[in-house]
Amino acid sequence: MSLVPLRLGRLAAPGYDVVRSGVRWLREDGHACRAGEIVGYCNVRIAPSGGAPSGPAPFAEEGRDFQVALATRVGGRLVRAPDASRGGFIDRLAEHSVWMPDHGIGHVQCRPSERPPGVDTHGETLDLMFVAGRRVTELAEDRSGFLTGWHDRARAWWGEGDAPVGTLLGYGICEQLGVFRGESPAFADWFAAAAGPAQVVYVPDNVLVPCAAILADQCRRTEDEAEAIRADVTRSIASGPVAPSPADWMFVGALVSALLRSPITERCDVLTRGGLRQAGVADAVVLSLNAESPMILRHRRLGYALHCHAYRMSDAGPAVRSWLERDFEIVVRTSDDVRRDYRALVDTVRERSPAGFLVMNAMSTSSFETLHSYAPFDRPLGSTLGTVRTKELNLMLHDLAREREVSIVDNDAIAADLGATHLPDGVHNSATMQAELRGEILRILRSRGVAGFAARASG
Amino acid sequence: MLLTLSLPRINEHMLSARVAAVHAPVGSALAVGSKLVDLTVDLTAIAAQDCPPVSHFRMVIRERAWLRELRVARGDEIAVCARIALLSTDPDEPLDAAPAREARVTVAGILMQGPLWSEGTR
Repeated sequence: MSLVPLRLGRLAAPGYDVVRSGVRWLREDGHACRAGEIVGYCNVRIAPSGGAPSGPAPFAEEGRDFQVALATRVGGRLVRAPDASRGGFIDRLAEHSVWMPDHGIGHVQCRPSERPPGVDTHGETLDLMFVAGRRVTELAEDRSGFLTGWHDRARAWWGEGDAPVGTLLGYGICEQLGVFRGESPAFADWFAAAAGPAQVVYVPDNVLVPCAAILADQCRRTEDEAEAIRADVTRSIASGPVAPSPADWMFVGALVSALLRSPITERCDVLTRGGLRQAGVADAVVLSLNAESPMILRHRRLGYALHCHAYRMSDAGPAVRSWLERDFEIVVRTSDDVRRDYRALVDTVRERSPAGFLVMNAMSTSSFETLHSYAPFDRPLGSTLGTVRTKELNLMLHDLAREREVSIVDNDAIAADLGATHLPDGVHNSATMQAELRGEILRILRSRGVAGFAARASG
Repeated sequence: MLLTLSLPRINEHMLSARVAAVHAPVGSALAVGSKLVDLTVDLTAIAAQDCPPVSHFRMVIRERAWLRELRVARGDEIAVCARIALLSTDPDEPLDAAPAREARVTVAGILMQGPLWSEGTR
């Protein structure tokens, strides 16, 4: 049998030391791994190697939730090194070991004939996938696992290759969660499917529902406008007629934080075998048509759009609800309004970069209905019946696709193919459906030539 | 002939629904396609997840009838199979006979045009 060492390989950032925790294993000793399988991970940190560095520190907003997944390049039986993991905080805090290229975390045992030629050319038999999470608040600490915690942005990028990193951003509602983060470990499905170098970013909808009107506002907002919103919210909540509860403060803090960011136009630091650099803004953005609610809120005085899930607003606290009632008006939106918002968003983003837009359409039928005729229902039907509104929105997307070169991820057709059991409520999808949607997004990215998302070479 | 109108199991997980609106008064003649009630189905208690499925439905009658008795009012939470109303095919038919069958209705998902949030939904 041939023993292929699982060496960490080179990883350096000029001016910084790369330090790491012990390894937390995801696979048991003796596990039969396939090539490319992630077997463990550790926390990493880059620390200035001497003196105070000039400029902002890399990963300043993500430093505490910065990890690297370790994938074997060779298939075979995993032999874990006994000293790779010490458990406890030694495996959770990234300061106990300097990253040493020759350090081996174990071996893969395979037949000599199964050892791919040239696999060890650079002394590296591990592929790296980095992940980083930006905490909603530093208080939201959870180091229990791989990319655990409450993050307003979670991302993964490939550690190999020096080419520019292609970036895909998922900015939708919970139907995208499983599509982007996958089952386990997070982002591993993308890592297995795309050759890289690529970056996949996911922005959740815990607080803010990312409808096009809000995203366009985020892209255009000036620092003065942001400051005006901060000051207004603080004044309105603190001196409103309802005393804020702890839940109110936490909700409004998270909300303002999300509202005043603009993930579509953010650039992120990436550390790869080639060093430390910055990835460009998103090359492709995936949106959810389901985020385009029939009603959103607009601030009466400052004019910005706001939308949160109704159950989140119900949970928020009395002072937040009072603030929303006092300071916001409800805006009812037709499919024409949504199209206008999409156009504004696409045009605003493309003034800065040639980003591709993909929109997941919505399931337009319901297995809960026994509808035999539209005659009994009030006109316009799109304002009365949910499935008619969805059909109108889906049709609108085709117009938008022609006007603005937007790609449609046909959630509706995929759900029809797989059956309602894979999308029982129209939003919360099965793992099978998530995999289908991921495959469809990859197909579109490849057809559009987005860098980094070509298929991995087999073997 | 007497007809009953009961809460159907619109969703396999639902146990009840809240009456969001009653569209027809007792005694009214219901033409085919008349609106009967709007219902809110909240699966929060059954499907404990961060994103609770709350949906809204309208029941519309598919046959001509008279609304003779109404057993629900706006805001009531009613169980699956509970009686909502009693109808008859003749306006003066006595109500002491046994109902012949369920009234034929259409159920469709509707968009709720109300406040974006409510207190105590969870």
